[in-house]
Amino acid sequence: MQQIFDELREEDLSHHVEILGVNWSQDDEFANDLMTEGRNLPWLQDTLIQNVRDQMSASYRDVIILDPLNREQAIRFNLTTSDLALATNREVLKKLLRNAAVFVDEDDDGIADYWEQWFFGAIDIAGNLDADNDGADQLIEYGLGSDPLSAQSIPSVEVGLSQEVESPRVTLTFRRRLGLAGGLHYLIEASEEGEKWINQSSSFRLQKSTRTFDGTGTEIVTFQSVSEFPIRKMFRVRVLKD
Amino acid sequence: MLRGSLSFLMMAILPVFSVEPVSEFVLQDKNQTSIRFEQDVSPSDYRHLVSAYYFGQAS
Repeated sequence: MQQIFDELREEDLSHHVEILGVNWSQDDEFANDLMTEGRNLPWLQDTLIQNVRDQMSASYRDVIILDPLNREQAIRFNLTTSDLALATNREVLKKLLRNAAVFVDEDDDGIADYWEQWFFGAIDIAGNLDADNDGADQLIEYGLGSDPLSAQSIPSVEVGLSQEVESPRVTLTFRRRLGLAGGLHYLIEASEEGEKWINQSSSFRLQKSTRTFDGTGTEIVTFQSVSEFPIRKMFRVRVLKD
Repeated sequence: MLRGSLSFLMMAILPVFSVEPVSEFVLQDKNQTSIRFEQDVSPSDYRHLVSAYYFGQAS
């Protein structure tokens, strides 16, 4: 499964898939080191109390795929009946995972249908609607990982100065959706007076990304300017759909 | 229009098996080289992402 994960990441970053292993043996952690050697995927120890394998009605060596709302997909893959030593079986599994991660946006508003279904119970919610009146429309809330129904959850961009080199560089830190999310574009723009904004994305480089595992489907990224900005400016991040 | 049609076709090929999400659970990550080593891991951590769980053991 590590190979499957690595190949998916190498081939196509637009389909973001997480793969986790679960120890079938619920009361024996003895062989966990053997299962995790040379692998960096999470390896979860099931327990008699949690009894995840029965909760999910799993069979030994089943691969259970969940959609973004944690609903099980119809087709299960089994590593015993479909040995991953065969390239054809690896391609079948990768196809199942890619299919589960395909971006679906029936109303073409740039927002994944599952996200609209989760928050609004419908998919035909206008992208420019600001349901919680916090000043951020749905596309921004989706792109920056905030709650569109809570005015306390406001998408934010933290602007700072890096002192790591002689000339201070501007840093912008914000949440970004994992994968290509159907083609969302994140533009970094600058303005001197707050009226005319100029795209400065090419002047910034990704400095750091941090996974949050908080159920938002986002990561926290920090972009740093490649050089010093000689004039004081304001900065913002715009989220645009493809 | 084509994009919407393609999306509908993909959904027909791989329909969701369950209307309800899987039950929540909490298990600890035992892989020392995993980014989540020693953390409590739950399905809700991966909401808004596609996740896959494989059940195995050393033999």
